[in-house]
Amino acid sequence: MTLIQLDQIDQIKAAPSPAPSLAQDRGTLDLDKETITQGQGSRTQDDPSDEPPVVDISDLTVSLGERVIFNGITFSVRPGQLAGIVGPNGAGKTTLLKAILGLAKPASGNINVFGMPPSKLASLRRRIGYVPQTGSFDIAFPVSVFDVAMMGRIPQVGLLRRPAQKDREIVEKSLARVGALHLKHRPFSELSGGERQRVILARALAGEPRLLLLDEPTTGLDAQAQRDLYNTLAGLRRDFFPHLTIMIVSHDVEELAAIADKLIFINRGPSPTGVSANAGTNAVHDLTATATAGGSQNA
Amino acid sequence: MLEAFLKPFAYEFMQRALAAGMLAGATCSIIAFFVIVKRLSFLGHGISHASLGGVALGVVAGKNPVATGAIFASVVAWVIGFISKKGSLHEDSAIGILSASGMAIGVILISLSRTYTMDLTGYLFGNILAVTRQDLIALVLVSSAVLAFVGAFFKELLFMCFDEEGARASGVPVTMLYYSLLTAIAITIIAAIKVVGIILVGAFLVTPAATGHILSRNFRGMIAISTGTSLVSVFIGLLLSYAFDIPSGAAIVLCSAALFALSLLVSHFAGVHPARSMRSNPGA
Repeated sequence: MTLIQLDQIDQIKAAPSPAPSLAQDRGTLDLDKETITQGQGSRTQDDPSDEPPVVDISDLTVSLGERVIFNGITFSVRPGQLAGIVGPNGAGKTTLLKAILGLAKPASGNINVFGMPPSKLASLRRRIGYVPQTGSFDIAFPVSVFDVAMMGRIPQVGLLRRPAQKDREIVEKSLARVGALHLKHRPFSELSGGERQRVILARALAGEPRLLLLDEPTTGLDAQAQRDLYNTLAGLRRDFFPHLTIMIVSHDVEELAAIADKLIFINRGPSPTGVSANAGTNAVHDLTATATAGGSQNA
Repeated sequence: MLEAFLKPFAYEFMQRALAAGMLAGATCSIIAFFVIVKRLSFLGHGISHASLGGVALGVVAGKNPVATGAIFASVVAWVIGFISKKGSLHEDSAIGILSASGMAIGVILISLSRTYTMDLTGYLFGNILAVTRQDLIALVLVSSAVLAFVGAFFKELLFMCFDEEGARASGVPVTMLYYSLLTAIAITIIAAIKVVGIILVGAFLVTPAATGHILSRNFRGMIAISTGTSLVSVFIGLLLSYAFDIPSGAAIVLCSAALFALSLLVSHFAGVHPARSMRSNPGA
């Protein structure tokens, strides 16, 4: 059971709500039983609501064999938004990212990325940058930092071709933007956890994505390295990629709420019959929709 | 001095042996890089042992043992890979079962056809000094195919071995590459059997690459060292085999092992500490 301290949730700045479900006299919030129905921040940005969403998911159910990973998920992410995906272990956060990448097949519901289903996304794959969980790659692999970042250009370079000078320049620029250019000749295995994550982030940026997906990017990092990574992300949006759409899976509600435009809560415990999710356990909080109190969208 | 070293290679059979050993060694070194970083060493041993069934099948049926061995080994590699990816059985269990089954098939075929026992002994322990022109041509073709595959898809293979999930997300055809890599490993092993034999080919495959892994933290250095130590092992092993009349395959593998031991000493005293592979499965 994942419990989140209320003082962490304070960062979400709960707004007046028809039915706030955060029991203020409780020390913890049990996400399996409670719904955070409100949340809004004071940050604003250019409203891109007239543009079609980059990620548009409705009533999505994903199963792994007989096991329903999650069901009834509905939300959308507009261009330029930073959406945090939060929830306990096993709720299906990583699977949700895989569904967006087209690596997990929906059992039902709709999912559109850049206006088309991920199964037809092969030609558009180069628009998506992906930072997988730390455990998915070999930390001790015999490659340099530059080699790792260059892997992000592979979709652009294409099969049977070698990276050109332009690719090398883009990779160097990506490393520079995450503050890792000085590490480019270092063996990847010699980096600290925070440096590694920045290099993997540079790898994702090297593909010049329009959608960036990060899966638990701060796992295993100390508090300072976590703050540094989130600051790096915030800086990237502010200084270089104001129109980049970002989705981050994380347990760090506090840190995410500080930089996110939208928080998407996914809960564990889909109905065994797969009919519908426990209404109200999955919720979306638009932290930029200051004019629409109660604008959360339950899935 | 140099003349004394080169004198044995005045003989045509030694020239063919050297050429076969160098070709097999270089090919093994390059494919073994992926075997080491993808942690498929045990798979290599399993494929080589299982291939006895395919080789014996070819000998008994009067077909080319290398061809039947390559097909048999490739199928074994695909089945092990499939079971490993499917997750229904641990990879090491699958390798143990399939390698033993393949060997058992080979042993039964040998026992049913005693007249071919001598030929099969050559496949078990290698017979590099008996390499024919046809063997060399087959080796050139196999090496060319494997090196062309690696050369064409090197960056994708590197990405897949480093981060399979990330590679898949980037649109790299991971499944196709994985099974192609298994096939390349299988046919490389079969090609090297003539040099060192089924029993020793696993060590011939991974020991030079392991030496490279000890001494270098970059894949370029690792492949260069691996290839270098493999070629040196073949050359010195052949010389020792000629000079002391000892089995050439065993001599080559022992040279390779000696260079590995030397690399461990060098890394210890030079302060080169190879990074250990660290990877865990991402959660759902």
